[in-house]
Amino acid sequence: MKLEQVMIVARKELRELATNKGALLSVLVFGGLFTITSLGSITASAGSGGSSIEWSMIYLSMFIGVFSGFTLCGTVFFREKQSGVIETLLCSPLDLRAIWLGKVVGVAIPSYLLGLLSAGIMAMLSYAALGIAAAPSLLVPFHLFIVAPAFIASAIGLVGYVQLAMGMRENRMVSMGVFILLVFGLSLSSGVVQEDSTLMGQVVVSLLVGAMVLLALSFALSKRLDKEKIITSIPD
Amino acid sequence: MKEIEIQDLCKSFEGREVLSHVSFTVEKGEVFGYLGPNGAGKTTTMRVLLGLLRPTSGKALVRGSDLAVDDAARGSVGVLMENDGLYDKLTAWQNLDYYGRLYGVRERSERTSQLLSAFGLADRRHEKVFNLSKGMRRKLGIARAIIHDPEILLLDEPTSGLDPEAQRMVRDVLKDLSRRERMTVLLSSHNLDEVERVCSKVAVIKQGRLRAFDTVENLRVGRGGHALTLVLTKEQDATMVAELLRHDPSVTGTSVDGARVIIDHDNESTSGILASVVRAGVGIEEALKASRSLEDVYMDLVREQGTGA
Repeated sequence: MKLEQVMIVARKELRELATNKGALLSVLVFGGLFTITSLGSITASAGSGGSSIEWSMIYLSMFIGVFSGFTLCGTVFFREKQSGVIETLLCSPLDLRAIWLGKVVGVAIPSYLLGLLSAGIMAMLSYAALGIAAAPSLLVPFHLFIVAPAFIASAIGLVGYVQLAMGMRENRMVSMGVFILLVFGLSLSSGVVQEDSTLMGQVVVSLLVGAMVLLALSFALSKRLDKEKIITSIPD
Repeated sequence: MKEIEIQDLCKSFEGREVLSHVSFTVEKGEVFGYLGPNGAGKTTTMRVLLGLLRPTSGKALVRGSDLAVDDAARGSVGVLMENDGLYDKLTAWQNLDYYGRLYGVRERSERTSQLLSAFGLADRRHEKVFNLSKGMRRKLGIARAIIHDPEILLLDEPTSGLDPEAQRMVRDVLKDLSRRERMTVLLSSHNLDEVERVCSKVAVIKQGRLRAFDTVENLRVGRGGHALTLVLTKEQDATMVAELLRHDPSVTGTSVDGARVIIDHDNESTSGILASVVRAGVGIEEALKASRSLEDVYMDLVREQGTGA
């Protein structure tokens, strides 16, 4: 698998997503609404101060990133298969895993950036509203620049694999199932931190371990991608 | 080494046989027609050849390579399937540029401009594909398929959705590619007139089995190359004429349609047939001699029962 091939596909996905107003708008509207909701709950629990903002940054970057990834996967993987364009791509000299990885990178970059942007906006507004001047702990940049991109990319890899490999009906059910499981995991970790904010570090490390496991799983599954499976599951 | 070699190819899906012992070869520079009704197995054959489906048994090779495992060999093949393979949200230019990159085309910009001009799309190059008409998309699909100047071109119904002028342009492009660049073309089509004009050799498939594989001329001659149509003055004479000619060794078949008798025969015997009919005292209103078209041969082949090739 050549990196150059991966990047050709990734660049094309980025270019196509940039022109997809519908998908971008839905992601931005949802991201904006969720950011405002988080902002409201932080200012309501003003007593917990900085740690509440820190956790919100961690949670929001992941949640918005995963949600955006799931939405954009629909355009990049699902619709390309549904339209049959994928057949032509599979006839090119590209390795099947290079196609998959290129698409994952193409979706992961905007999804991660949207997650990061939401967390940044929410944090700035919260710090300003609560009048806190202290910088966030090192845990936040560690999460934002290492854990979040790994987690978002692994989630997109899994959803992308499902959308390429499965038939259209199973596709909707399984990819929705994967998304719900990821969101459930995030909500569970959020519940733990809200109970005891000193556990935030352990939760972030757990998320990193989870991201690594999911990344390994995505790569292992991508080796099992099969052209015949993809072609025979394209709808007539 | 053959450019395309299909050898005893079988393909089944969940026990249902879609291709059964299909064999044919395509030589370099040949424009080869692959014909058959819907569901006959044409697209499945092309997909196996492209490495998208695994054969149940047999071989499908392109220049001696199995495209399922040889990534580099796929770079020498251009493909236009039923789907144009274009991205709706990208412009005509961006689509060609993307595929140019995928196939490692040098001087992509020049090649893209050249193809857009050749297909009459130069003034639409910054138009998004979803704004183009079906015919324009098809033309852009063909340009996409040859962006990397492939050695072999596989086309599935390339002229569907095109107006007659554009169909003619595509035919000319294919002839030109075959003649000048010695490009090998496998053309799957329902348009028999198009196949007859462009292809030197054809294979006909029905229900997954090959029914014929030969040059267009051999197929036409071999299956009653010439037809004589007689329009009789009296309709009741038609059956008698058909009966009379049944014993003529130069006649390979007759059919009656009202006062019209259609006689398949070899090329030399027309005057003898006319003489026998006149001698029998039958009045002839009109006599029309014509070669059988590929369409006639194709219709015979797909209507025939049985499994022989």
